[in-house]
Amino acid sequence: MVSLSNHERSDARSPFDRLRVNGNVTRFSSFVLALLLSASFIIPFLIGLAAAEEIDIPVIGDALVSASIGEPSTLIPILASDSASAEVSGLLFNGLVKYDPDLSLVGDLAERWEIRDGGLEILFFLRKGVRWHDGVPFTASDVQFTYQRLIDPSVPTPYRGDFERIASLEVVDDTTVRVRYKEPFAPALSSWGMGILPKHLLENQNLTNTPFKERPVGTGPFIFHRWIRGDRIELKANPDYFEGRPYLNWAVIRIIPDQATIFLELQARGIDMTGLTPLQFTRMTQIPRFTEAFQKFCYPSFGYTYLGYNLRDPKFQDKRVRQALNLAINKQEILQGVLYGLGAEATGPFPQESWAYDPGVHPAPYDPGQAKALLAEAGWRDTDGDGILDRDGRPFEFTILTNQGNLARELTAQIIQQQLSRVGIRVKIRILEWAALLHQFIDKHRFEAILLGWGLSRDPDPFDIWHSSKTGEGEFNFIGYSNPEVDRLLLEGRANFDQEKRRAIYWKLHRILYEEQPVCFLYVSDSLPVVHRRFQQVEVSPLGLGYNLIHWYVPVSRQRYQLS
Amino acid sequence: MSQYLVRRLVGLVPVFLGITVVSFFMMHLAPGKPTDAVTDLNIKISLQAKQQLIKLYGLDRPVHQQYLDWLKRTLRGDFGVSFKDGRPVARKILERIPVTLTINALALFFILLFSIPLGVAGAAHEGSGFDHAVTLFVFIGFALPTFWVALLGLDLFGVRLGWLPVSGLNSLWAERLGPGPWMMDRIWHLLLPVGVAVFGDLAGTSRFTRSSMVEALGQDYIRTARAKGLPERTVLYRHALRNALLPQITLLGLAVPGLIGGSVIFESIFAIPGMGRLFFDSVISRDYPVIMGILVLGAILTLLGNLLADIAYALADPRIRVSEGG
Amino acid sequence: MILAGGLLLLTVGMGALLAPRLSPANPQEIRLKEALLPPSPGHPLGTDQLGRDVLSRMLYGARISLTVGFVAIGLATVLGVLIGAAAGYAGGWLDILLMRIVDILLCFPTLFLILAAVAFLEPGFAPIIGIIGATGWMGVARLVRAEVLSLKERDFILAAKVIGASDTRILGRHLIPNAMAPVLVSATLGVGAAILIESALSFLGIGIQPPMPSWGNILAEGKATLGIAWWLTLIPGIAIFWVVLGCNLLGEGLRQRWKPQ
Repeated sequence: MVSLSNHERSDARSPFDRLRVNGNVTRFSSFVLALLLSASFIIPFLIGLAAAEEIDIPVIGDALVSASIGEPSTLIPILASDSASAEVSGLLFNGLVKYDPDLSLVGDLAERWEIRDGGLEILFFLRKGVRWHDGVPFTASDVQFTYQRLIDPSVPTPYRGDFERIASLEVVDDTTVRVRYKEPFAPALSSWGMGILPKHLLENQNLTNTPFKERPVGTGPFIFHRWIRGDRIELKANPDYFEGRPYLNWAVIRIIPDQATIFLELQARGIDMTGLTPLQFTRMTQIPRFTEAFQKFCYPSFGYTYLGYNLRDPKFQDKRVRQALNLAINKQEILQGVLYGLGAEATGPFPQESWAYDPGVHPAPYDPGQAKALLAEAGWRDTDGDGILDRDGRPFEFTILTNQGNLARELTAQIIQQQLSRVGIRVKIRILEWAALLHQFIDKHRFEAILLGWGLSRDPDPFDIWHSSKTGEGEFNFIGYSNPEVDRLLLEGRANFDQEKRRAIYWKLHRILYEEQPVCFLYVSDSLPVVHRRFQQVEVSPLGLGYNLIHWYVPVSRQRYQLS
Repeated sequence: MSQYLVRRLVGLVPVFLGITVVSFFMMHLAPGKPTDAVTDLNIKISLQAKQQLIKLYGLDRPVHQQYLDWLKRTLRGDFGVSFKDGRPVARKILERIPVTLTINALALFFILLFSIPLGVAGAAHEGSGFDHAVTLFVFIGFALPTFWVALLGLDLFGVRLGWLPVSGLNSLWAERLGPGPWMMDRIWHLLLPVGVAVFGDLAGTSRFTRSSMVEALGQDYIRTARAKGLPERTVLYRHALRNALLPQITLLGLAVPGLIGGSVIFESIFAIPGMGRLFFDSVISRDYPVIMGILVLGAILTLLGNLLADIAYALADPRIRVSEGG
Repeated sequence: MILAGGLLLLTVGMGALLAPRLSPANPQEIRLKEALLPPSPGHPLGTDQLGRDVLSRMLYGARISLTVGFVAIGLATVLGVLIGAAAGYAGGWLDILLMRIVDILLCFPTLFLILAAVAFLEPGFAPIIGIIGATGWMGVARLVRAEVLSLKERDFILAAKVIGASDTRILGRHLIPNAMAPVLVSATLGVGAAILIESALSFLGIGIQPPMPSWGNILAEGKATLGIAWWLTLIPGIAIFWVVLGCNLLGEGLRQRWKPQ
């Protein structure tokens, strides 16, 4: 999913791609008060007797309690547009395809597929013997049903776009689906990562108010148990999961809307897994008490933060000015000051792990002198000696807008402000509530510069962000970028199914965008999850943590929750 | 009196309608549409899909028409469904009320329990060391930010000492323990939130009580009562306090809507699924039906609270004639 | 008491006024190498997340926070007293009208007023003071009205009427001064609350924007670093406490001095 993340939760601090959990549990305490008042006295029952065991042999048992800052709005995958919803529904449902740890597409509910007719047709061969959580077999008609809901105008799904490119979808037999596209569309295959819905439960139902919303039934590794609104969601292992039963009996997602509380809850062992802030990661978790209990991870997130210029503004139309700004903004300083070094300089629109990222694009070094020279070349000089550059009697000043609720961006804006003042540019900052920023300023193109981030999808196609046809009100090329060569590359990139050819196209795009600087690419922050050490086989991949959740297990002696 | 009540209640109807009109239009005037937040600037979500959503929600029609539709539905007792998750508004609100009400009522009870005696004692011993100590204490509670006190409390009692849980309303799987232990577990979880709320709000009631008590104690009838040789306790609590409670009545009336309200910061820190979070989330995502549902509930309670306060004045102070004024 | 309260307020007032001379550093200058330093001789109140000197930020922030606190609450209090006294004294239809307006405004969705303001106004002092002032007077009005309703039946007011005192004189000389006790408390607490509300408005894009400091902003920014930099939140808390205490002492003192009747 590509999303422009508006909160720190979905930007720098959203570490888990499939799962994000953390929570609070009873724990044994020797204090009399706690014993009298609490449920702690049940803990002795919950803690199993340690037996001689082999720690390397996966065993069934225990629960993973994780924390989510935001509450999912829905667990129905085709309606879920926020990351919290997508993360939980990803444990309950499967798509036809999924990404494997090296970021290539592999089958999920589809066993394999064939791309025919130069990309106009995809033939999916479905996995046999898959059952819904209620025991009914999964068949091709479920795929067809999901597709029909996706293109049904009365269904408030945000994902219609990708599926409207389909000319026809045909059920060949119970395990074969033929999808024909109006034109070849490379991201089409990855769009089939969309969770498939059960036809037998949803036929003739209104998706927005069906009881299914309260009790979703999927094919995924976990079965929905219950949802206590505003508090937690409990999922139970699916014993019949087609890739094998998860070793963990439960996955509990606690909703804790405050980052500071999540951290305290982690220290109190109320949750097993969460994402840390850079400050917590570097300065608050170095003590042995913490490192003995938790394993910390650090890997680049799938997204970047940038300073976008309104290219309709004459100030920013000169490429030299934009290049000068890039030279005058010291990204290393931002990385140190805001992320405590836990991130990397961004150089373009793709994440470093992606095959679309051209490793040959090197970030220009910080060079305020060169920046001043370029600005002078573009006519910006301090003629009146007030320390601010001017041209035609007008000072070089602009306002950076950013959204409320993202501390990293607020701090970044202030650092940029100081850095640009050194080359004679006056910057003001305005922080706005998200919906107001979006509706009143971004959609209507009423801004000079904005500090925002793009979350990126696994498929690299960034058409909507850079193509000149997408500059209308409410569209995503709100900076107003227009470059015929970029337009051409974007079209070619999405019409081509050959990854090698697409790679060449996107590498070129990457180089052009860095050279042209329609936005100043700032940084890619790291995801910083922690997981309790009792969980084994916890692995990080470019997909993040938790992609192999079904393989996580806890040795019997260390199991904490012995509930079936 | 009953005639007065009927008149007042009838008078509330146009006021109530006025409030809903103002709220509805104000809500639509604020920038941002429900589709902005739902879609989270997700580039998978096309402009067409967004426009489709606007149509589905009926947001493309004139605002006054939307208002009339809303009013018609609401008068039938139907608050509509949330834009965000399609669940009925009434249900979303009702599931938040018990916990919010519990915490607020408990907090209010303890605030009154502590702050009125503190205020009375402060006034009775005006200028004493005790008076100064109480003043300092309640103002510290007032001035220290709630989140600071709360997080410090969580760190101390939840993490360092391990006496109290950090967040949530119950331990996981507490319901498997049976109703008795479940209740204990719930109380255990409420200790810190209620404690923090009480600490932060002692200042208001105790200062108001103290200042009106000081005022009342200076009146002739107190001197008379003392001269009669009545015990000091009786003088303070029977004679003076009765007169000093007038501002409290006003304040209690104003506090009625607060019983189902909540602070989003407070509820977020303790991870309590209360009304504060529901309202804040609804505003942020421009979930119009939920916002209107909460505003209507708040308006009803505000109007009732003020009505009750007006009636209570008359009962507390026979000199005020109800026939006069609102 | 007047002296003590005045002294407390005077110290912060002078601090705000003399901020440019008293500040050890430029409150907006970022020095990342000095981020999150605890209080030390070089930085008496430590530094914040961007290495800015907290003492300097507190001094400059006092200008904003004190102005907002006193002007906005002053506005709300005057408005509340006048409207409350008018309603309580006049009674009848004026009382009904004014109290229903109070009812409506109490239910007014302030958050949306702010959000709408964001779209149409530039951030700055005036919108903050306007919003806090315009939405803060209703409680005061109801308090004063209740006091006046009770007071106006008392002997000394009836006596004043009998000797032919004018309505304005009765209100100004007798009723309002006697109704001031709860008003002073409410104003005292209001100043503290307004300082915090300012930071909430800043976050919504209408208040003071970074890097300009205000006490509320320093406090709110400090939340993220609470675990390792306690001073960032404690110091503004103490400052607000200081001001509230000062207001309280001053108010108490003034009331004792001018004991009416």
